[in-house]
Amino acid sequence: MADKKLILLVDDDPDFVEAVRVIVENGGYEVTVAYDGQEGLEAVAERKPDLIVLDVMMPVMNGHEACAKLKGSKETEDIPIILLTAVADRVTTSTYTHRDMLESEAEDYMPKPVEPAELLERIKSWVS
Amino acid sequence: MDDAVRVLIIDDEKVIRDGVERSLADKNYLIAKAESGEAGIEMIEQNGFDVVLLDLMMPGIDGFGVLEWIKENRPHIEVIVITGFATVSKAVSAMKQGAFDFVGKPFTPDYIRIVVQRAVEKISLETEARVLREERILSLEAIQNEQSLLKTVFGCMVEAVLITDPMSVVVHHNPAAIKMLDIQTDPVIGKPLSVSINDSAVVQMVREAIDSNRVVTREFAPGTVSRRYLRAHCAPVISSTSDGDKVLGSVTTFEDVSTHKQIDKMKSEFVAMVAHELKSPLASIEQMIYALQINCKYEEANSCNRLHGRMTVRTKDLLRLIENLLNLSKLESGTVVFNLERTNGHEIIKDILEVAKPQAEAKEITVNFNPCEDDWWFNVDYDHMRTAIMNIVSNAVKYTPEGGDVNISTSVTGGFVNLTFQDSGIGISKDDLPHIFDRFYRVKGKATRHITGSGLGLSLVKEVVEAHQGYIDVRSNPEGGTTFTLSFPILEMAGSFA
Repeated sequence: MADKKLILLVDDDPDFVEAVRVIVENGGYEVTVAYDGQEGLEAVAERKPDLIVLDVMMPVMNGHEACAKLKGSKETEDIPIILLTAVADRVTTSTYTHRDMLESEAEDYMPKPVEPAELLERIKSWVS
Repeated sequence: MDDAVRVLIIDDEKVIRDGVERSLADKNYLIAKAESGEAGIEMIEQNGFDVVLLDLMMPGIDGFGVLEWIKENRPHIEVIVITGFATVSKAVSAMKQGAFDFVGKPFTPDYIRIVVQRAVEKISLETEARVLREERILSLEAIQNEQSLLKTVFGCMVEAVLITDPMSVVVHHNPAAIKMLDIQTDPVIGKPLSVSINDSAVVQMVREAIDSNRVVTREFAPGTVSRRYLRAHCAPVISSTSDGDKVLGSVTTFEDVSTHKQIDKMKSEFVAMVAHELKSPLASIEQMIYALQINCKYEEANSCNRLHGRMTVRTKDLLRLIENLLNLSKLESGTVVFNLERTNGHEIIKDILEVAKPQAEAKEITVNFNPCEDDWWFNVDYDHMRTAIMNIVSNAVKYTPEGGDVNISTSVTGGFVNLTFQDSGIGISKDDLPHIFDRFYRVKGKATRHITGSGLGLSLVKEVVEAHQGYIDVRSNPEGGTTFTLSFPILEMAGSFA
């Protein structure tokens, strides 16, 4: 058990988080969850994960802000981050644009919904 | 004249009276006789006559007395005096007093007939002239009435109206124009439009209507020509002459559409809100369907496997419909901000083809991409452009039967890039072709029964393409497939600037 890598999932929709948790746990990882950017930072402070799957569009603190905070701190800058975004959200809100994704310091980004096999492959490439 | 001419003979001599009556007998006159001036006046008073044959020499009131009375009281009666040759000078003074003619005694019946006939003709001419005069007065009144009617309508119109000559000088306007438009001059009439109205778009609209000889419609947001949202129609006024058509000027009406715009905005906001609320739970459901299929020992070769597949497809369709609704309502309300960025054209297409691959592979459709030799860049909102091109590619795959192919190519000419998407699909009939960009329009038929879609995809593509100064062109023949061509201005080509 001890050698299981810890993955933090951050998304404001509990059902979405549950669905991704099933996928990630099935890939042989331990999972913790948080429901907005602020909670995500608290979870990281409590127990440092090996990787964070971070949704962009969230209340309180969105994914970009949380990502910037994590990358701006010496203790957390080395945690790989996969940003999740729905292309539709980028188009309809214009708040989170393609350029934001490119300019973000996150290691990777994936469109929603996440393909189970694809997600596990990406996680594996960053944590091993 | 409809009625028979009434003739009165006034003479104290019976022979004359009867002689005159006999002379006129075969004419269709109503003849009466009086034996004295007094009797004649009385008869005229009672019955009125058209022509009076009057003896000058009579006892009692003589002919002059009667003539004077007639000219004073019944001026329209024509009087012919009867007099002896010896007294021609008297006849002349009678004429001076207004008699029409005279007859010398003795007279021939023919002569009497001719003189009376001439008097009758004079009367009928005068009557005709009077009728014409009255008609003319009536039609003048009608014109006056029509003018005041138009003036009233013009003045009461809610829409602002500006009329200009061919040089765009204002020649007329209604009160609403002053109220609605932000006008810089007083008076407006006689001044060029460019002096009176600060917005060059209005001036240009009028110019365009006059120069191109067709109606131009524009909308003006609040703050330019008015505090209200206006829709303007500018029509050239054309006069057709033998030398061809000549533009006399223009008539522009401005209509206040602020309320429409407000309702439209509310509608867009409502649609956006509903769509947004639908989207979040659906996105979770979509992700949960994926999760459900993991490590499920019942999945393989069981009906739930196939049904899960369908659930994924239908959920994706539903999400795309909601996305398109959201997009369209945003684009319509004009609240979309396009984040333009320099984008490599071939890369964005490859990115899209990667995403569309599973959809094509499932139907064994070959997708060929033949980019032109050099790379090129255009200035677009990446996400909007991706959605638009995605819709085109996805349509091509959807409407192409299994085993078909989709060919995508690019070419650059004259600062523009053409993206061509050619499929070997079921094609679009002539009847459907003009409507495919209409909202919610879907081609209905046997071939499309199992193809799902919202009918919003192409409307969205059109909006996005036009927002990027692009053009969209479609050619299709049923059974021969469909070709969509999108054209955009490019920023730059590898090795050279466009």
